[in-house]
Amino acid sequence: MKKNLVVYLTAGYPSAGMFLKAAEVAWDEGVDLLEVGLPFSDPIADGPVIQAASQRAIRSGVDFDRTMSLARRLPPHLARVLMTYSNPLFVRGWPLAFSEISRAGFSGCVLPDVPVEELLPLISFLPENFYLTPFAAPTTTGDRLNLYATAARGGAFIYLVSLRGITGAALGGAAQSAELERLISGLRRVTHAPIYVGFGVQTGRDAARLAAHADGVIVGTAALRALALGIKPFARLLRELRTALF
Amino acid sequence: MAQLGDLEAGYRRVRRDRGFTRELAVLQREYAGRPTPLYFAERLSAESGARVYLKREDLCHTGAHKINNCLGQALLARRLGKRRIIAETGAGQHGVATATVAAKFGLDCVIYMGSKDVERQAQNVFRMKLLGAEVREVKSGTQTLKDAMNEALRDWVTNVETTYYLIGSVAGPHPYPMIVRDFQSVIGFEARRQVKPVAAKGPRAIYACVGGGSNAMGIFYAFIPTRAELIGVEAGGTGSRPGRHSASLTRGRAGILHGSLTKLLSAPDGNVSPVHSIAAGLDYPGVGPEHAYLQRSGRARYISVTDREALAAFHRLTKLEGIPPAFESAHAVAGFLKERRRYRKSDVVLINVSGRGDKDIPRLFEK
Ligand SMILES: Cc1ncc(COP(=O)(O)O)c(C=O)c1O
Repeated sequence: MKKNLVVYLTAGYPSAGMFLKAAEVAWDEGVDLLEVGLPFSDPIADGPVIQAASQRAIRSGVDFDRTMSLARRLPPHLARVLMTYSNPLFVRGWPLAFSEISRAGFSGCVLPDVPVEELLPLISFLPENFYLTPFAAPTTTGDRLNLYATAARGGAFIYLVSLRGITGAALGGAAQSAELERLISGLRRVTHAPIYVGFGVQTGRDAARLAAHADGVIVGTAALRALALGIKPFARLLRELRTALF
Repeated sequence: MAQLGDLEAGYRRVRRDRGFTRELAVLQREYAGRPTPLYFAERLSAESGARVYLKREDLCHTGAHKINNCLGQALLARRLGKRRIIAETGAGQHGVATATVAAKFGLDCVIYMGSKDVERQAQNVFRMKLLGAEVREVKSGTQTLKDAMNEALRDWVTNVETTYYLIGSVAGPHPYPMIVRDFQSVIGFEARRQVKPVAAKGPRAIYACVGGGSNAMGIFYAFIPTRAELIGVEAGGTGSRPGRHSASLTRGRAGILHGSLTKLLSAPDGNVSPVHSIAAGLDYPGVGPEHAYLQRSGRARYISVTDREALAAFHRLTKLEGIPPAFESAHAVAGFLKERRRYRKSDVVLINVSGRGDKDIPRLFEK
């Protein structure tokens, strides 16, 4: 079965033009979902690469409005979700923020600083055909799995963090794969929502291994690193990942 | 989230455990030097026109109230079977207190500190290293306390099985604000007992400085059911523009940072604003969520004083009483001096002197 490839890019990084060009390349290379990062000053779930990209984007003036206008210029058929932290949306007011994000063409929102328990009360603010993605991790306990089933509605995927740590960290070995497999089968018992594995995926080999039991992988740090080198290395990485995922 | 659940469950277990309470009480007495005195500041009283009592947290081991919380949480960490302790620090006071208890309990210790603070507080960095802690410099963001906290949180999610995160104030995700408040509340419970002989009806007002809010929560908590007016004093810095102060309660708005919904200094786009204070320990853009609650409910009142007012209060207390307060604590003194006309001669006012000024004296010497 074909696995989905999700690629993360920070809005407006390394420049507005390069960001949009990278999105074109992502569409051409068969990326299934683009995760667009609205940069936040205090990205606690992110490693040094995404932190640096966020800071640079903020300094160049990328904020909520600018991210929405960039999103409107993405390849029209490329599916997209917005990744950010709670405060930029909270200060706008949740309902207004979600409806603006939805109108800019995003199908959902990924908020790594909002645990699934806190996601549930936000569901009532969502516009139609818009979802919030819950995060699961190796430390997620069995008694919380039902919450994921409740939260992952409206076409949401579940973001499964591959490791104990932050974006860009080093992947573990066989023990990690076994742990993920257990967690995935636990989630499958309670929900049909697709499960994408992210954090630490660098190569096609990583992608193939982590996708074995999931429905797809999410690549962020490696994508930004490649993009910082240029469009060509970025396209090469996407091709490698795409091939590895059939 | 699961870890926070485990932490809360573990904490609720030890709170019911007599052995734990006894062990902590012994440490507070014999190691930290509690109870700290409630001292009648005679000359300050004569000058200001109220009966002013100072709660002497500056006399605690390591020189500030931070040790109260560190002893409690280090005992908790040990009960939870964690061998490694991490913490964030701004001024270095919480870092020093954490490194101290880690040395005492034989635990590994890593302290995260923003590059700017490492530079400004070189002496405390040296102290932490003497105590056997590893100090990791944080170069991201604004390179101050909030960034140190970001980095400590990143470490914690990476090493969660082995590591206890010892947060230094009543901030961060639940259950931390509750745990830190409880361990600091010893300040207020002592003060309530100590003030009784001189003010049968209790004090008229209590002043404390507010950074994250732990010393203020610590002295306020026992007095919440009383008639005492509770006043938190924030850092007004050098002006009201963003980046010139760190007065989250008096100038901030509702926001979410480090797992708390509270008052926050943030820009209209939601990014956290840079902050400033002459007192490095007040340099935090958020504040403990319980203070935001006390403010909203009207039970406590919050004001701010400028760097200059705090500095003047530092000199006043030093000259009148021979007690140089930490620059943080000088804000509490300045808050009282600013409002002294509200009080009559017979009114009893408590000021929490959260720490001693030794760490700040080199800065005065440089100028
Ligand atoms: C002496 C002293 N007082 C106050 C504070 C501020 O912290 P809090 O508001 O949590 O008491 C600090 C922090 O470093 C401190 O060292």
